[in-house]
Formats: sequence, structure tokens, C-alpha cells
Amino acid sequence: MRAASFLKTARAAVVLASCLTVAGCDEDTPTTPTPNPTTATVTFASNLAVGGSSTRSFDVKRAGNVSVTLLGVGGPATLKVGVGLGIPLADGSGCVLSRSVEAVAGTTAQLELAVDIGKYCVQIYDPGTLTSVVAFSISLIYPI
Amino acid sequence: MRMFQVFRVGAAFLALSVTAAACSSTTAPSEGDSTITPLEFATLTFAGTLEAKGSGFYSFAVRQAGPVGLTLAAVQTPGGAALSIPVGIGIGVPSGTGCARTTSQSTVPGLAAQLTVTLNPGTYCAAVFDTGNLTAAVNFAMRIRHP
Repeated sequence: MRAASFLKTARAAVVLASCLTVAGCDEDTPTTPTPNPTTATVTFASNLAVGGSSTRSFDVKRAGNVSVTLLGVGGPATLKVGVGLGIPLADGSGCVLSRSVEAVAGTTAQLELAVDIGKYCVQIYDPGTLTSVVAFSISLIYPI
Repeated sequence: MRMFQVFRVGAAFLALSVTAAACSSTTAPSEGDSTITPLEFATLTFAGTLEAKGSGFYSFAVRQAGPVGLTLAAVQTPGGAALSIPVGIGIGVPSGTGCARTTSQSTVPGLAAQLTVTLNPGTYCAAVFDTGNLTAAVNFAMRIRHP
């Protein structure tokens, strides 16, 4: 009789421990996290004058890759213009290009570079091919 | 009977202990628990002209121990065309009118740090120098990021 009672109590303790173990861990039903955007895509569009350049600055919040695609330039499809990526000078006097290419418009990135956190600039310039002002459009993708 | 009661109390303790041990939860540290100060970084741009066989340096103060990154961002012709010529960059300590480099390397320009070293608080210098590849003066821009 006594032994049976012991066994009963022991079983109850084990069951209670198991229940508490499961219930004690306050686990919420997992939800699918909403991914934060990791890159920004901006369009830089304006006009480029003969012998001129046009620059846009942007902030990179984490290390990653910057990609520059010259989507369109007015004039013939074979018209080449210069596109570069660099850093703005602290005094605001310009954009110092780290890398540049002369390219025709297309849908594939003409420039792609690894960058650290910081301020950068993209520049389009006339390498001597323009005979009149042309409109341009650049797509810029960078880490945020 | 008394033994039963002791056993029951023991069983209850066992249940609670198992429960506590099974939840490997961690307590979020409160602000008062830690004295770790997040690093604050300053970014400087060192730009100028580098002569063939020449060198230049820029002094800066590190306020907290931490990583210092040098990025040779650009090397250009005087006309502004970007070049991919390797140039020497280094970190050292100001010495007389120069910079005694302790770490250096030759690198082409890029926009991710080419040289990173961990430094203690103090005054240091970032150097740029020709490693023998220049035949004429070039313009350069270097970014220094330090705590």
C-alpha cells in the first residue's frame, strides 16, 4: 500500500516536471520575419553638357558592393560617355574618381565596386564625345 | 507519513528544478551591466599630389583603441583621369618631419579599406608613397577611418 503510494507520487512528479518543462519555456509561435531591404536603388537622371560632368553623392551604411548602370544617354546608341565611382572631397569641391569607364548605355552594370561604410559619389562626364547636351539616366544600387 | 510529505516536497522541487534547467534562457544585459563603450569613428580624407619617387603623410589622433582603416580611394592624372597604378600606403608614427611607417603595402586604388590595423590611443600618421611605379606626378585621395 505504502509502496504503491510512493510510486504514484513519483510518477506524478515526473509528469509534473515534464509538463512544466514544456510549458515553462515561453515559446511563441514562430513567424516569418520580414526581411529588411539591404540595398537602395536610385535613379540619377539629368543632362550632360559638352565637356561637362554631373555628380551625385550617396551614403553607404554597411560594407558591400556598389553597382552603376548607365541605362540611357541621348544621341546615337553608340555614343560613349564616362562613368565613374569615387569619393567626394571633404570641402565639397568635387568627386575624386576611384574607377571610371567609357561606356555606351546598356542594362548590364558598367561599374561594380566593393565599398566600406562612408560617403561616395557617382559621376558621368563627357570624355570628348559629345557635340551637344544629352540627357542621361543612371541606375545606382548600393548597400544600406 | 512524514516521509511521504518529505518525498512530496522533494518531488515538487525536482519538477521546478527540471523546468528551470530546461529553459536555457538568457537575460538581456542592462545598460548598467556593462562598461563597454561603442566605438565612434571619424573619417578623414587626405588628398594631394604624389611626385614620382615622392611621399606624403597625414597625422591623426586615435582616441580609442580600435581598428584604423586606410583606403587609397583614387590615383589620378593631373587632368583627373582615374589610374590603376599601385602606390604604397602605410601607417606609422610621426617622427621628426616625417612618418616612420610600421605597416605598409602597395595597392591599387579601391573603395574598400586596403590596410586595417588595430591601434591604441595616440598620434599616428597615414602615409602615401611611390613604390617605383610612377613616372610623373599623380593626384591621390586617401580615406582614413579611425576611432
